[in-house]
Amino acid sequence: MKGKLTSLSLLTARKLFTALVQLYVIATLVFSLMYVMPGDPVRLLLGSDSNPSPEAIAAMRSKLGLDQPVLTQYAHWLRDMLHFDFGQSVFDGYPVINYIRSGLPNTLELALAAILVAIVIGVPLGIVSALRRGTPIDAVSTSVSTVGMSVPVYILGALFVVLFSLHLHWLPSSGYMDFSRNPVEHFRRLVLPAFTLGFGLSASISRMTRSSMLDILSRDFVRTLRAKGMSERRIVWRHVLRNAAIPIVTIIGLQLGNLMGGTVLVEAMFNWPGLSTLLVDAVSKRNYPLVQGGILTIAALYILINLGVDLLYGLLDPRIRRKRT
Amino acid sequence: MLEVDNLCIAFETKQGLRPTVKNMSFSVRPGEIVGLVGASGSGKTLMSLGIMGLLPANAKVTAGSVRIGGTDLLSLDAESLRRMRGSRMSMVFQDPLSSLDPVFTCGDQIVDAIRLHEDVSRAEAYRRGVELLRKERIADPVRCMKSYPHELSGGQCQRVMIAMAVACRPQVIIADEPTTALDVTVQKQVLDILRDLNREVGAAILLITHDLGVIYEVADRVVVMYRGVKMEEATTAELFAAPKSDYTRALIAAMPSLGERRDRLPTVASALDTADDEDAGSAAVHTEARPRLYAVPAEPAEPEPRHDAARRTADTRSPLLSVRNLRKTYVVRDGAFSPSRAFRAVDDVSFDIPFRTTLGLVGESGCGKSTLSRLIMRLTACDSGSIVFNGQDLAGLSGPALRQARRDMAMVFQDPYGSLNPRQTVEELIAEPLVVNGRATERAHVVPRMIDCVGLARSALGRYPHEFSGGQRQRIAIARALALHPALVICDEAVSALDVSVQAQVLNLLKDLQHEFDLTYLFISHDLSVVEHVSDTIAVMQGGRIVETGSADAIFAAPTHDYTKTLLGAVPRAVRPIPPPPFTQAFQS
Repeated sequence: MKGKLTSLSLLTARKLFTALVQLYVIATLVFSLMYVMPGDPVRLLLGSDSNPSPEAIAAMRSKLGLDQPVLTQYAHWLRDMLHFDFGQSVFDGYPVINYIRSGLPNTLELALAAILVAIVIGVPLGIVSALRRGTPIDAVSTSVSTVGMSVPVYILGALFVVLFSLHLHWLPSSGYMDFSRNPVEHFRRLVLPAFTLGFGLSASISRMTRSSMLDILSRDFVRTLRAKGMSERRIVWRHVLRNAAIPIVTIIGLQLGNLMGGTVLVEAMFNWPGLSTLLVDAVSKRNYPLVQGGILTIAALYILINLGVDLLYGLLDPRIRRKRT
Repeated sequence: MLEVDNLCIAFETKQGLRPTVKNMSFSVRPGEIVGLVGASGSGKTLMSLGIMGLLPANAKVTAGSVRIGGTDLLSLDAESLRRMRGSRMSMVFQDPLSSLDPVFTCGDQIVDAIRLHEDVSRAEAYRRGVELLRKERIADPVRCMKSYPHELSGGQCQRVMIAMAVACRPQVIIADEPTTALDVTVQKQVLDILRDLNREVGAAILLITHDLGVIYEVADRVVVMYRGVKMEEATTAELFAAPKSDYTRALIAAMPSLGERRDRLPTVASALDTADDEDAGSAAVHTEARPRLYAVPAEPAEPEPRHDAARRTADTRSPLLSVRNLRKTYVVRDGAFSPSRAFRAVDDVSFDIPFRTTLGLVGESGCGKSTLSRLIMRLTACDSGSIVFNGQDLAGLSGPALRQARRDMAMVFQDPYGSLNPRQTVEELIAEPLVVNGRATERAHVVPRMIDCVGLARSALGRYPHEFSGGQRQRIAIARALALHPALVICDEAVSALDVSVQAQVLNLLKDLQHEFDLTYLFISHDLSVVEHVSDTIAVMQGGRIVETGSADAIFAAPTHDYTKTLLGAVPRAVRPIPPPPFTQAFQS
């Protein structure tokens, strides 16, 4: 047990270091975004005045620190990032961090709820179709997941709204309710967007679970377990599932990462005030500080999720703990 | 104790039931070890799974009974049968590493085996596990209990398997090729342990193997199986002294046996037919019992490839390959916190292979044999030393010059299942070296010639690898290796995965081709008897070094190094009391 822990903490330290390096690289890329993107941000900032005076431009430049050498700007940028200071929104002067603080939890909540839905539907479906391979159950679940993968979320969402909200009147069709104001209503409004997102994801999870389970079920050690006299249920739950978990965890991690910036359609459809919506809006308005802050936040979350997945690998498979990276 | 009576097992196919085990009857008494021999595909494993009630979904018992201590297993319901497994009957499988769950410690798995059937505490079960491992002469049983399977060697894993199998003192143990995946010296230890432990446990052991040497070493009685039918049953002494069936005689004759060098190994004529049957639909591919000698059809003389011509003029007495002071070191780390250390995979190795001869390289797994072959092919760069091939030092070559030099070398690998791309037809497989080297135009006449040379029918060209048996696949691999007319062929455990009878055919084929194509072989194997049979000179490798070299006759007659002696001593020897029959065509069913 002790060996397990030490090798795990070593793995953690290594992965953590990699994650920090990745973050640094992304911060640098985002910094250079300002210079790569077309259009002068200063002119944009002074956009209301169609022909700003050179003095106004110079004043704005010095205010933003753009008149300093690039390396100095870079150093300041990194320093600000370390303090979670992403600057101010161009149009209203609000700190970007406030925008992120308001949008991020909503996106996170939606993404986690969607993944939860996907896991709860996908994993058992995959297990059942692997164990009942070639039977009608398998055929049905495989075709359901094909449908799930091929229907775009906006169609699925619309169908859900028509069915559960307009027809059955079970759930509100869209909108957001603050948890502190009305917890029940808050969750009622979460259900449809979460299912809309999660249903499609569950398809690939169930596919992966099925094929991974089938692969493990054909391994020699499963035969050994049977020869030991272990019951099928225990073989599946204790041994096969744990061996099959890595590809499943991988795909769940990837999906969760993608959801960080990928909830935009559903957020728009259900009027959900999340980070994705905020970011799309900022991009179209060239609100650079907000774009930068948003990208950095999403990237950091993505890295964090990957870190979690990597550590989970180590927990699941002793062979990975020892591998040197 | 174990009584199998008139057991029939069949596969359900679209064409109806295909009987695979036919009317098998035999019994094993407590404390007795009965060997079950037969070629792969003869139904041995299927029968053992049938006894355990672990048949694959598409196979079923069609008749007969299996009794253990009076209980008829076939009439039991699934739950009662499950309770029997592990407690009253248990099994040891072929590949110990893949037969253990990789994500649980060995201790957990042994403890599981005990606690599934006995109501004891975890601590008590753990203590018993440690005790079992100690009895199996594992140096540090507590550490072994804490280890994951991948942290142990094959021999240690197999001991863990045996510990699980005997943990609940079963009445019957079925060991299915328990030592096939292990080195000779480890094989001996494992067999000894199995036998010794059984003195205490007193189980009836059914030992399934294709290796008659193993049978000779440990079995009390032998059942010979061929195509699902029992050919004969006798005590081990009787069987080797006076085999009754022609098949057994042929099987004994086909074994390359230490101390006897013959030009050709007799082959079991119909063994390939058996293999054909295994592969559904391949009936059209008829393999000849013996590879045709000089089977090149009478076609107008092919223009000799240029390097071939050059080779003929070379002085045939100078070595084709000359390796000097070759070294390769890997940096390894034993555990997460252990300091990294240098592991000398190949340590100051020197040898010569004269033109048109065979060097047999022997050693146990991990001794550096395969690293050496990779160094020679320059698939891995060496740290120092020289590899002079055809008068050119490969160690210094790179880019096009290296690729050019590599064309004169070819490799045949161990696993004929893994080394052929399953999505290519045989024709594409054999033609690939030509295509890669820009000689695609020769494909039309070279490929059929190669397939003739290795003794496969031309109808095989349009088929895919999975339609062939192991021996046939290895022939395809050989044909591919020869497509570019290489000077040197490196055979890395090329026959290790094959049955004795098929192995004999492939070895004969390699010998024939050596004459026909003026080949020089580097023949790598862990199997001393095979190496002895094919080699002119032998090099024995241990821990990255070559500890002894010499002519094959000299080394086998009078080994000087201790390690060579150990290796020779560990080989299960089956005496060959009867002169091999003239040729075993006699046995044609």
